[in-house]
Amino acid sequence: MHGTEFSPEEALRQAKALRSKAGAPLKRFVAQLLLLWGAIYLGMYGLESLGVAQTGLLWIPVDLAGVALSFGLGARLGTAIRSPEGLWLRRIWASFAFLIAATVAVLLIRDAAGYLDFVINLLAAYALLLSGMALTHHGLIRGGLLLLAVNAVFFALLPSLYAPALAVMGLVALVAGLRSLWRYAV
Amino acid sequence: MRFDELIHQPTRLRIMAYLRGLGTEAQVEFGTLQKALELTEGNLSRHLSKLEEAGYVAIEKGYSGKRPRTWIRLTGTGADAFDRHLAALEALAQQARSQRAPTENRSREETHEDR
Repeated sequence: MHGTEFSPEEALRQAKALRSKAGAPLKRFVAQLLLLWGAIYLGMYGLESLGVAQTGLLWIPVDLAGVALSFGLGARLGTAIRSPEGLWLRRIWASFAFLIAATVAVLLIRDAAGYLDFVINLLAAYALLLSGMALTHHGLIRGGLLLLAVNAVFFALLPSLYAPALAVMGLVALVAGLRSLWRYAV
Repeated sequence: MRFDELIHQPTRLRIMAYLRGLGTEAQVEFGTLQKALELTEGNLSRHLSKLEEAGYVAIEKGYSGKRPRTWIRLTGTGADAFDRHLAALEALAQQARSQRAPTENRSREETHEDR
């Protein structure tokens, strides 16, 4: 009888392929977030660096929309797979949201809005780093470290190039997200 | 190293492989697993019952809002059984390769001599 013969190599290949496929939903979720926040950074800092718009107040609705979308994507993943890594991501980004809210309030009360971008990006870099560690995702760890360095160096030493540098970071995240999404597409 | 007859069945091997990729602490929703493995609801249910009977998977029924949901998780026993089965498959594949190699070498030599 042809066609039903058992091939250990084929069985092994299929088993290994499916084992790797299992991690795809979480990786797709990370890719969607990179894409979303990459686009937001590129758009907002891009507009600022080109001098097209003063983005100060515009950040509030854009950030809120981004956070809502991110939590929506997270909730969708949560209905498909419940994993310790997913739970860690939820904890990291929920605490990040609280930290940001507190930071923005304190800096605005103390009339130190000039530090908002720096502190928010510092916290975002730290949250990225933590997420990368929770998922053992080296790309996220590298991204977090890069954001940390770019944010610090350009804010301290090259403030006039801060917005373009962050726009480039957005572009990097956007490209990484697109590449990852392509790789882990359904 | 043990060849597991229960996991040997192709559909069950696929289910176990997918669950192994998630680890023993993660749970996957029934519909997600069904979609990922491209199986019918009945087929997946039938194989999951057999794996549950063997203690290889744990099935938990619950609700997400008002929607009933079924969550599947690989147990430690299941993970061990799968790893042993995969090792047995590796050994079989290796054996098949080494059996094929002398024949291929011989036929290559014969072709060379014919020239």
